[in-house]
Amino acid sequence: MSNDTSQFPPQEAGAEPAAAVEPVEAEGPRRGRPLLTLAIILVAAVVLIGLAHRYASRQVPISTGPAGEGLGQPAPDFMVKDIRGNTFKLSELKGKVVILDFWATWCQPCKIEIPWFVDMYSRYRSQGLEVVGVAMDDEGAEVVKPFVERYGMNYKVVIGNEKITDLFGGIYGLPTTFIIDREGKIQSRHIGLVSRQTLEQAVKKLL
Amino acid sequence: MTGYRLQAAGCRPLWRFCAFFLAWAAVVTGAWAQGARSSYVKVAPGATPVKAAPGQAFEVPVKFQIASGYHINAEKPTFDYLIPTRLEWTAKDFKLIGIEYPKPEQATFSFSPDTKLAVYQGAITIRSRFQAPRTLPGGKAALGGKLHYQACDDKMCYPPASVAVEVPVELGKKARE
Repeated sequence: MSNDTSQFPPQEAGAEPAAAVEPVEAEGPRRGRPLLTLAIILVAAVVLIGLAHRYASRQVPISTGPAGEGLGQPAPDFMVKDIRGNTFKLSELKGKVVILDFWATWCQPCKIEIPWFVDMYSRYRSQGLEVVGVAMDDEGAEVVKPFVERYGMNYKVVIGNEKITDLFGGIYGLPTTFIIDREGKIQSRHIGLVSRQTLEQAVKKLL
Repeated sequence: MTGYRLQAAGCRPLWRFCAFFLAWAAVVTGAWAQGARSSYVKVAPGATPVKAAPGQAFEVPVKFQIASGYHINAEKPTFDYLIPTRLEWTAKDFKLIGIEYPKPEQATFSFSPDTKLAVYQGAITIRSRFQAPRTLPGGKAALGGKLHYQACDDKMCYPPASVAVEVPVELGKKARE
């Protein structure tokens, strides 16, 4: 039996390192070579580990709550269709405070947040709040539209794709919510289910 | 010269350390990279080939290990909008008779404190029954399939994924079976 996770290339069996070979002419600059090589290998290994750690951290976010990367930067603009087939462009909401929520119909934690967004949109729309749900269902509007009606989602819902998630630095779990200020800058990012209070406070301070 | 020989000999432990460090770095890097590929479910290792008699039905148990802290939905999830766990076989030589999924756990999570959800956690075994063909070239074959699942932890859910399954099958002689 096997699974579909490819194996990391196996490390070659270590041959006896070069330092074990006796030098022919030992004096002068050659004396420092083994140590220099050793230093280079150690630095390379540290860099390798660092890169792997960075990659792994990007792929599998394990923390929840506001994340620091990209905060204060302009939100990437994108253009997609909403569930009714209308074109939506994020930059058209400049001047509004935006809750941008990546979710899916199969995501149970996302379902907890949806009534909060419905309520917040009703209460703060007049003060300039917009809520945009980016549904990450592969089946698209066909499955999202009935869900939206079933749960009374009163805000705009668009169909997302990997291009959009890449623009936002990769989204590997749902829900992931961005709060964007009136200037179009990302002010907070919430990975995973967080409390309503956390989300509402993040919104209210921008209104 | 002698002094250098001594110095070179003194470097050997350093080189050994270096080789050890590189090997460790490769293991750590590999582990992180593997983890990054989001395998929340793995086929448990150590399975032996399944033996089947020509023309007879036989059972194929496949054990899966769900990563600690994660769960996947049951074959019949609590809600219709949740993605069920499903084992799909692509065996051509063998006729699939049926698949028996384990009884799910009824668990609550921070995102569902009041409603119990039918999920699988930890190790699970899914049993499939096949009908063996009357003949098989070489007497050996492999059953291939995929387990489709969608994993969540206590705060978030991850995209639907699948893990490949391959079970070697040895077809015995009819007289011997």
